[in-house]
Amino acid sequence: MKLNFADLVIHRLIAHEVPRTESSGGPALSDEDRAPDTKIENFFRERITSSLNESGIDVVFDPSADMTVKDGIEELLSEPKHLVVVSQTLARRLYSVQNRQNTAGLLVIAVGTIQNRPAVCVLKLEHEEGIRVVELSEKGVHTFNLEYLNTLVLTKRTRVFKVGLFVAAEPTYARVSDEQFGRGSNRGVADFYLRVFLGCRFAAAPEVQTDRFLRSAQEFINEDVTDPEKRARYEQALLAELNSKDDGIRPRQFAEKHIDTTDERHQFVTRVENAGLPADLIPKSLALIGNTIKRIQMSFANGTTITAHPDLVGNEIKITGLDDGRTRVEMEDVLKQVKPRS
Amino acid sequence: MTSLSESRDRYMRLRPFYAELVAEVKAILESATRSRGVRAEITARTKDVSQVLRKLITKPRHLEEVPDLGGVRVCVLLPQDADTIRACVERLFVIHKFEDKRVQLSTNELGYYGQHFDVSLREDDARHISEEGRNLRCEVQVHTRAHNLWADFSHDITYKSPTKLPDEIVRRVYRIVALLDLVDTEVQGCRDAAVKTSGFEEGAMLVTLERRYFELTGKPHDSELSFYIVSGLKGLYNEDERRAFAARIDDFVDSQRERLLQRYAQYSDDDRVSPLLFQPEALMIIDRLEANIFALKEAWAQILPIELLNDLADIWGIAL
Repeated sequence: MKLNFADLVIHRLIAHEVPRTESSGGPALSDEDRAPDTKIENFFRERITSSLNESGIDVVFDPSADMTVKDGIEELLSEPKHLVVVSQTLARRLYSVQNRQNTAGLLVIAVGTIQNRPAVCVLKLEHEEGIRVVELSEKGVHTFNLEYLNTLVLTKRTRVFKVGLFVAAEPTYARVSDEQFGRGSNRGVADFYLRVFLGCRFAAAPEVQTDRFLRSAQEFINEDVTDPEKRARYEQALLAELNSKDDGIRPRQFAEKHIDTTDERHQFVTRVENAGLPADLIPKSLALIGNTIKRIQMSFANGTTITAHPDLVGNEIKITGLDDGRTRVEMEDVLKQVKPRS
Repeated sequence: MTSLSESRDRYMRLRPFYAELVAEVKAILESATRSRGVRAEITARTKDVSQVLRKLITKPRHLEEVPDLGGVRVCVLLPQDADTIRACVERLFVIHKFEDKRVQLSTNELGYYGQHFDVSLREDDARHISEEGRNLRCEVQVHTRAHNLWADFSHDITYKSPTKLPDEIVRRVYRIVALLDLVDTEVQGCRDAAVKTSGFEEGAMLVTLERRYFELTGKPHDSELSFYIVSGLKGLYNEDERRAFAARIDDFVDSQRERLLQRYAQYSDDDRVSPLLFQPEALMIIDRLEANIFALKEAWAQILPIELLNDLADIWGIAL
């Protein structure tokens, strides 16, 4: 399902305080939901939109996982008036499954519509600290007072929050974003919200998507780029991206970082999207391509093939495009062995 | 040779199919001229039964040999646009005959400058009309407004004149032709000079943007900022796209109307909204966000902080 997340309209929302799990205690539950005012609705929508766009991954409910959240979401999609009771159940569920690694925060549940379909948002927000400046005027002297705040939960720059969007469809459309997705190999923390709390898994297998990404990137390099030096450089960057420790690929960021011109970047992202992949975040798994991305292979019209470690290309191995369309490859090293090959 | 009465009956039977044919040709040309930013008035008609009979009486022949039983007239402001239309006609239809009236005149002659094409529909387009009309042909005439005036006027005086006109009147008619020739040259020359004037193109783009913006909201905007942003981003459209800018923005607004209305309604009372949303050029920026985000970001970085663009992108629902 192709959705513009900024089409979300929030009708009502509710927040529950979910503290760090202790041996005794539980979440501080709200007993009433609210209709957000214009500013709050717009602010939430903007933050949800940017988070789902930049760090969102399409997911599905995992039939082997706990059904508490699934049942609650499905109930809200068909009967949003049950928001208070269902959201309390979800808050209790979060409190019961989190461990001491998980930080305290607010669980916000919102019901509304997106493109005329019922929708439910589940947000986990952490408390943030800040300083508030209050201007004062005492005895004709202007000054200011600084107040420490620790009740902020969502600001324009908040990076640590998690969003789940669920939309009525058959089956339910779901997308989850977590700023920890795809950054480093920190999957354990990101997995908690997705798998343990929400009971979801990725909609598409990461190894298949990674393989598809590699193919579309290769198509771009070999079919859209003509300059041999650039081809080698882009290939080198591609392999570095795939071999990095990050557990996600961000094609748009890759394009901005490694591809020279805006037209080429656009071509690259179009190739990725045409392969049915998201341009912002693809969960990475090298299970299908692990052995094929260790070295760069260059094949020439006369049948010669050069295989090299990516780090050597552009440094020890110099590649230059010639005016007549041919390519010059230069390298100096100690010849270790010559042998026949089929 | 068929009798006049048979020809009459046959034309009356075929006339609705000619009407379908010329309506289809007109629609195809309207779409093509719009997408190329050419301002053209396109009219279509079938010949009156009486006109057809008069032609057959004056010069007996088969009905199908009478030219322009169905006719489409494309009238453009600029002589240069006539060449664009010619290229469209050649690409979009099967051409059976072409006449360029200008090249038929010698250098010391004045007269009508139109281009006439005898066309039929290509196979794909022919499917849109009744089977009986698919093999029919019609005439497409392309000329400037000045020469359209001349065509109408000359038709009027020659058609209604019972005898040869006196020399004095013919002389006056040729003076008009000379004047209209001059009008065409001056109109094109003025337009070419105006486009090269600093700010002209931005101004024309802004007129388009404001027209569509005020359909969506009544909020006032900062004209100086609009001009600054349009000047900074107009290079994101190539020459052809700039020429067809109005059509492009119209298409964008029409296709996204519901979403745009929703956004303007949602933010009408939100004073923390991005200042760009309530600027007419927001339509242009969003159009470019959808087209090539990388090119937009690069151009944007030259004129304003990227955070401003980011806020608008969030409102629209696109990740930068």
